[in-house]
Amino acid sequence: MGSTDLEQVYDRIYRYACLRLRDAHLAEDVTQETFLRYLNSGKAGGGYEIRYMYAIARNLCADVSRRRRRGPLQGVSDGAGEDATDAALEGIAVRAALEGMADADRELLLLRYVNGESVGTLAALYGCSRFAIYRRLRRAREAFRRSWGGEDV
Amino acid sequence: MILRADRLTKQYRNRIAVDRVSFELKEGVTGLLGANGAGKTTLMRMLTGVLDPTGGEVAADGIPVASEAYRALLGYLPQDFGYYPEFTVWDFVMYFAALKGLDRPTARRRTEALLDRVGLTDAAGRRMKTLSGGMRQRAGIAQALVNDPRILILDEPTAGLDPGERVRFRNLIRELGRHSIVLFSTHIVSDVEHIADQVMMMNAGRLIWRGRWDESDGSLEDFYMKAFGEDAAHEAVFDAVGL
Amino acid sequence: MNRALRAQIRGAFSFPEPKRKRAFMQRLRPRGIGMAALVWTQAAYIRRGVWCACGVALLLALLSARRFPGDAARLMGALLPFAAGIAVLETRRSRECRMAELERATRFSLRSVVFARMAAIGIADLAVILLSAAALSLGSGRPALRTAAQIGAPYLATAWAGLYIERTPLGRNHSYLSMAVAAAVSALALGGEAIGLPLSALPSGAWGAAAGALAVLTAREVCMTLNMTEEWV
Repeated sequence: MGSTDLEQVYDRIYRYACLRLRDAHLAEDVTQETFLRYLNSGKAGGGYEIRYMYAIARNLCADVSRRRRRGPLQGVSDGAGEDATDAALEGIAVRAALEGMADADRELLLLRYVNGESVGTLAALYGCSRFAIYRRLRRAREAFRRSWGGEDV
Repeated sequence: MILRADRLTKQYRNRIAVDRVSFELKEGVTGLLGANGAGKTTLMRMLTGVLDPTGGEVAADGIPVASEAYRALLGYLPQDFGYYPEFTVWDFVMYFAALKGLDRPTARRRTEALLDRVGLTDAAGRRMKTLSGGMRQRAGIAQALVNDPRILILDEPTAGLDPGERVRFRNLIRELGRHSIVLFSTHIVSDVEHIADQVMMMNAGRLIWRGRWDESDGSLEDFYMKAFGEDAAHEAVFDAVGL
Repeated sequence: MNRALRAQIRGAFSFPEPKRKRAFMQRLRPRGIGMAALVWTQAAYIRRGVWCACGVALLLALLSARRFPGDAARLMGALLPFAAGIAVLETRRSRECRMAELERATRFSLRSVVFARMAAIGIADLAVILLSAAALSLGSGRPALRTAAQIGAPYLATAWAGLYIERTPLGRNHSYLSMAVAAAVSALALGGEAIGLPLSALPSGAWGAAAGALAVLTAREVCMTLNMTEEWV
């Protein structure tokens, strides 16, 4: 039984779903559905198994994405804030530095450096070795550095 | 959520402290007004499961008061409470966070946030026994809120608070009433006037009046005096600052 | 991985605050908490003096096993009643410190909270008795079970009498009566031989029977104390 801060777990799943779906409202729906499915799965003991929850959230996001057409990824430029013409984004913003990156790299950076997930958790989520995760993280950081270097700061 | 009391009664050997009280409360702030001995504390103790009623029922969305599930929704500040003398303010709130089932990281985060909210961050390391009455009351409010309760029962919460603390407390309760059912008892009419969406009045164990009150309804104080009569009105305290 | 890059990556993402988090968290079924977790929680809030008493008792047992192997069991039998007295005092704290009403309005019943407190101290004291008995038995050559019964019986006698007195009006109004009981039992354990009680000559069976009977009586007192917690508010 681990000590888990439920609100932080909610935030982590929510951010992940936001990035996948680019829609804050849908992301909250997915987050709450993730919690409910996790609790009903019988796997929930005293703590919350984050890797299992990410797996549930990933499947739910995939279901949602299949049901709607994905909009283009919007970046923030000159601190202008959200694009008011694209209601789907609802304030989700990524710097232009991330725009040119592959989805998988972007997602990895979020999970590792924003959500603070361990390499072990990421390896379990992506079904690969820890070594592979380290390699992918390095590649993602390089891609980000290249993109960031080209961005107007 | 609906908190329902149905013909709630508490009878002792030679007197009836609460006499067939029924009401329903939803999210928002309800002020329970009444003189000393009206039965407010007894009623509140039955609403929190601290005292077993002689008759009647209490339930929140069908969850009976005697269940763990009900108490998990609950935050309670009694009129008079103690503390373990070796406890610091931090220990006091964390102890109740543990008894309310919060895991340690959540308990720590909430305790820090609540102590900041009630203005006790600097006193977190101080022993409870070194605090003034008003500071102790604020620590009591913090423990009542630590589990983010959906039902908050406060018995004479502004007792011992100085005017500045009272204003702060009123703002806090108003904010809490947006998401939770808040019931607070008092014999200070201005507390009710300033923060309650709904008012209940008790006398001799009975609910004698219940309804909404705002400025257009006139002076609550005058209405209170009329409802209770001259004698009982002497028992009530009218806060001159609030008039 | 440098800090500046990490900060840049973090800053590159921005998400709106979730709007429905609080409402959802409030509705979430609270996680189950077992009795073991409650005992652990209560153990964390038991006064340090109680644990010190356990530690001191164990230390003295180990020392006396080496120095006075023949007499050690009698000495421990005279010391452990004070550990029992302290344990009894600890059980009344909710009432004495006027915390009972607040504790009662939490997820656990007041009965569970008091039981958890008693269990935490009881388990620690049992460990002290068993470890001490093992050490003393090694020193004296006597059977460990007999030694455990010999040093446990005064502890149980104090616990039983102390809990009983706590339930009476006299005990409710006088905080330290259980320590007076401990002193009396300790004196009996130490000086029983001098007043003609053949304690050291008692066979193992007699000690075992005495300890067993006292354990049953103590368990009964524990139940009655727990039943009384309803009146503490």
